[in-house]
Amino acid sequence: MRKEIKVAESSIETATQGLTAEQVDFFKENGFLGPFDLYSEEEAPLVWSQGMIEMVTSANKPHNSTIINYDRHLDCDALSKHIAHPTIVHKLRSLMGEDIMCWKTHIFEKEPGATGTGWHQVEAFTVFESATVSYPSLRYTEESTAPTQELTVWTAFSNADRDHACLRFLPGSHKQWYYDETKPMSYNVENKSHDFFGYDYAELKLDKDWDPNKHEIVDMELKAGQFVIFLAKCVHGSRPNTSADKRVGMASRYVSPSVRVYEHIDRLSGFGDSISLDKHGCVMVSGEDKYGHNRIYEKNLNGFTFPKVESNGR
Amino acid sequence: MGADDYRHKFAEFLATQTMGGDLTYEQIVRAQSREELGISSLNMIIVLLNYIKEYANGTVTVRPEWVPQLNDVDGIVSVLREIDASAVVPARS
Repeated sequence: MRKEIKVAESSIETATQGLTAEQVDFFKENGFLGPFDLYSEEEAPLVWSQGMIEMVTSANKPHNSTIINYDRHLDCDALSKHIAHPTIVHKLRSLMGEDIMCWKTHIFEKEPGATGTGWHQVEAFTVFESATVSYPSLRYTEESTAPTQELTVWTAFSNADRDHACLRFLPGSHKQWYYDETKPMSYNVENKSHDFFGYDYAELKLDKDWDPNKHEIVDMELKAGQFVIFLAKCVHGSRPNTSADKRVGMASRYVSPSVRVYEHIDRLSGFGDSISLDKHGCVMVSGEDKYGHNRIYEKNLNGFTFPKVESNGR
Repeated sequence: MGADDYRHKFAEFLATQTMGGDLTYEQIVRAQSREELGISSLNMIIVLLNYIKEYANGTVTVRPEWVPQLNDVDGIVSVLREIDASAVVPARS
């Protein structure tokens, strides 16, 4: 069952505005909100292309992997600007409060013919050090009065409609756990049921009889240059890419600075590769870090100063 | 130089690059897409940067609008022509 979202019309606002009370309520109820305009359809591929050029020319990369494409906002100016774009930050403030820290970005490319990404639900972003030892990427240290302390912004740099592997959400699914993210999964890229980057996320289902495809499903179609905000705890996935074009998106993830990031983790593995977190740091895109839990970068690894949206629209 | 000449120039240059792998000159000349050449989109930007070093003495900056053109050989050839045309130093023949 699919539902057409009617939020888009009211959400296309001027660049510096936050969310309306109606939009905040929609987010609280559904766990996602969008689409919002960020770049024009002509500008989006150029921003992405500039990012690609910088990925190649960067003198100081956050890691050496060409397979694990995390955190290139830490060395590519175009992406450093992107994560702190005022249009994004003002909307995040409406949901998280003034103090907002970007802790991770992740590039999601889907080649023509690529399968969809399976349903999944996370909050602590558990990392497995071995088959039995795991640690949360995020440790929440305090309660907050804001609707959330964790948000993901997924920006389409190419069209991401139903034929081009758009994101999909189960509205309202953030209100309960359907999966146990602390359990390990088996890895097998050849197996079709392993549709979560080589893993079978369905292995983590709390109720083996629960079928996400029988839940209400919303396809979040985005044009190039649009973004959606969501809780990683809202069950989500993507459609397959049945088009002849590559689909390109980037997720930027934000938490309150009260959250401890990668507290016990110094390496990340995945996709057949592994990266060191020696150069990892977080970026304050709004407000202040009053906690000192995490390494904060004010400049990216190549010396570009991260933009920051000042308080009260300054 | 015409488009065919540029295709040959590209083939000759790519044959000198590590990204060209085991491709023969004839395979490169016949190829239609970057994918056929087995070169990733990021590596093709590296090829372009190396071309600029070699033929434009580093005086040309890679433009973002060129990146989507690097997915097919005709597009690559077109970008090489632009580089040669905008090089401050005379392009080597």
